[in-house]
Amino acid sequence: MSTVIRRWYLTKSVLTLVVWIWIILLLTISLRRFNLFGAQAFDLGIFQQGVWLLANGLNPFITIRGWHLFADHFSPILFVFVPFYKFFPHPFWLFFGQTAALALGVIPLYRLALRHTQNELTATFIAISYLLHPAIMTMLFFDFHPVLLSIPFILWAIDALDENRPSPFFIACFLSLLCREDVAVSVACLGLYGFLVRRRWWSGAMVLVSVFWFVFATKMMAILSGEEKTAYFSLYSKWGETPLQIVFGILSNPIEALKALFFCEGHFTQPGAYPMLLLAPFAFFPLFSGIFVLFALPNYAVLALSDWRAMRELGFQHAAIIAPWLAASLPFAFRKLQKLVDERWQVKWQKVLVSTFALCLTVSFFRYVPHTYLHFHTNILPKEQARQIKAFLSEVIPPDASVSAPSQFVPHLAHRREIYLFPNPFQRAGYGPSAETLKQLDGRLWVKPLKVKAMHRRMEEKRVDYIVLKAGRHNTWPLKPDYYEQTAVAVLTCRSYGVFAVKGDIVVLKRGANFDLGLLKLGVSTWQLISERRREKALEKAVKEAWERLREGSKWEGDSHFNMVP
Amino acid sequence: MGRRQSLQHGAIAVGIVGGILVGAVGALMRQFMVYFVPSFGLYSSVDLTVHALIALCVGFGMKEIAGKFWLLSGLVMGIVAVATMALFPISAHSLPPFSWTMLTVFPASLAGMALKEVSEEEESEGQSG
Repeated sequence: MSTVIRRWYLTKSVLTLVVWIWIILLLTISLRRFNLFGAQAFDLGIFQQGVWLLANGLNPFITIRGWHLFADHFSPILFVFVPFYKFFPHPFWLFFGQTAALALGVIPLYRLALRHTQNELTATFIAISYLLHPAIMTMLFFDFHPVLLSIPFILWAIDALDENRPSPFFIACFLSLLCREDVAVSVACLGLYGFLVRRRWWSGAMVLVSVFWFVFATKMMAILSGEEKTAYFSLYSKWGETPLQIVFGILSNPIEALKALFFCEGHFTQPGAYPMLLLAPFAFFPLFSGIFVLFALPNYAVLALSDWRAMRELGFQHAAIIAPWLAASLPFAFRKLQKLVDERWQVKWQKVLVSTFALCLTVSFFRYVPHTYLHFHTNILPKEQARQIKAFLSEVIPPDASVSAPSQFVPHLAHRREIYLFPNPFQRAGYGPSAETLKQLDGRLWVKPLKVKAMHRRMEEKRVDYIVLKAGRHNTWPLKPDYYEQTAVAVLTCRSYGVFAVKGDIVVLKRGANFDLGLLKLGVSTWQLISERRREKALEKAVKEAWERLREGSKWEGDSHFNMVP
Repeated sequence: MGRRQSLQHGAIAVGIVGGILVGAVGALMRQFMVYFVPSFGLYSSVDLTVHALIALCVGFGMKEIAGKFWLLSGLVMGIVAVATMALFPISAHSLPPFSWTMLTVFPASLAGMALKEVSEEEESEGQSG
């Protein structure tokens, strides 16, 4: 066997091995997070309920979010999961789908890199680096998002465009458009790049198709949400109201736009740090890819020019828009850099390039990946506690009952027609199609607790069978911890519901259950001794004290509230 | 003219990549220093000396790729090294001041390239002598 073929086999084997290890590791992380109640209503719960409803032939109205599944994002690709959900309804399919999809991006990237660098080792290196880039890898730490499925399709389309193969290019572009409406920006940029730079006239057709698709998808989202236009346009409201106005607003304010592109900030990311977070792990090499990087700019602008600060944080799905461009720019950059140096020094120069690249990736990986991993695993529960809660919830709450529960319980209760994120549906928070809702989702606007009487009135009107509460000040989103506790006390004093079961720091209320008996389960017994006139105040005080006892003293193993399930 | 221009471009590329390499090694060193030698804080004299030495070594190693435009390469390398060390997301959440790095790493990058030049001159003198 010649050295070239042997090296080709060796690099392919190494790449396959790395991809498999990566898939198993990331899939385990996602499943572990779900099993230990680390996954959240937003966004895993949303997609779980959506796919479950589709699999059962029901109208996919997401009660967690308060609108139609495709009003949130136009992602018909979710139908792919329907047969699997019919067979076994479990978020495993969603996690597996997005992990495998992200990993499969390695194939077109490796092909592209091999073609441009003519070096198997460098190509393997580029492909592996794509898997380890902090902005790409950490997207899998946070629940499930269909936009991640677009990454391998965009990479495939870039590879096909580069190789002058129209059919795979069109198939890949169509599939990527099915993942989310804003992927149309990526496809349009790609079509334009092919048409203007690579002189592939057929790729120009994709610009028109993607514009048409974007208009269609956003119109559908507006219709399904019952609004005039999709609320997501409001994220760019400082530039304009409609997509055309937004583009015009950006182009007519170039200084402002450039400032925002360079100095955009996230929740934790300081101004100017986000572009570094994207570029530094790849040793800033994407900047050397020449004109290709210019066509990536609109995709970056989608993230940088938005009001949504979470778009510029690691660990969120939003980087999926720029990720394939970052990765695909590497082969172009390596080729350009290789050509700049004399033939005599090529071997040494390649070594310098690869070691610089490897070093930047290593530093960034260790600096950001464990940090982001911990950030998304702060709310996970101990294994035994999680197992008990899961058993408790499935024992107490019937599978077809409607439930309102805090965020971390929603994914475990999501496979039903009506599941709400507490305090919904009694009080709207992060619910519905308005622009205010988006502000609430991004932490720019907080819902204040209702007055006790108003809350009780809403609880009488809105018919939800069960309410789950967890005493504690962690993971209370969409309410602030103080507001969550005030709302919980208001809920516990409503006579339309009674405490049905208590386990550890978890309280389950049932509509129409015996209120007085429920209070006894909660450890409230003395309030009735107070005179009639002061009874309501006394009840509130006693419930508040019981709630604080639950919060402070709920050691799970030795808890006195254990086994109080009726 | 074309050849000269491409050599210049090559020297600039060498400077940029060398600068990024120095910055990345510096960032890595800073990450480990925090664990192993906590007293050597950021921008302490030890920290700056280590970075200057790294710049010197990288410059020395890359001189031959830069060729006769080593001065241009060294200048670019110094600037890029300082910029990378400041911008590299080891502490991207709070970009620190880098005036002291500028005073140490920048001349060290240049000196690395110049050292090679001197050593090559001495070598050729030795051969001719």
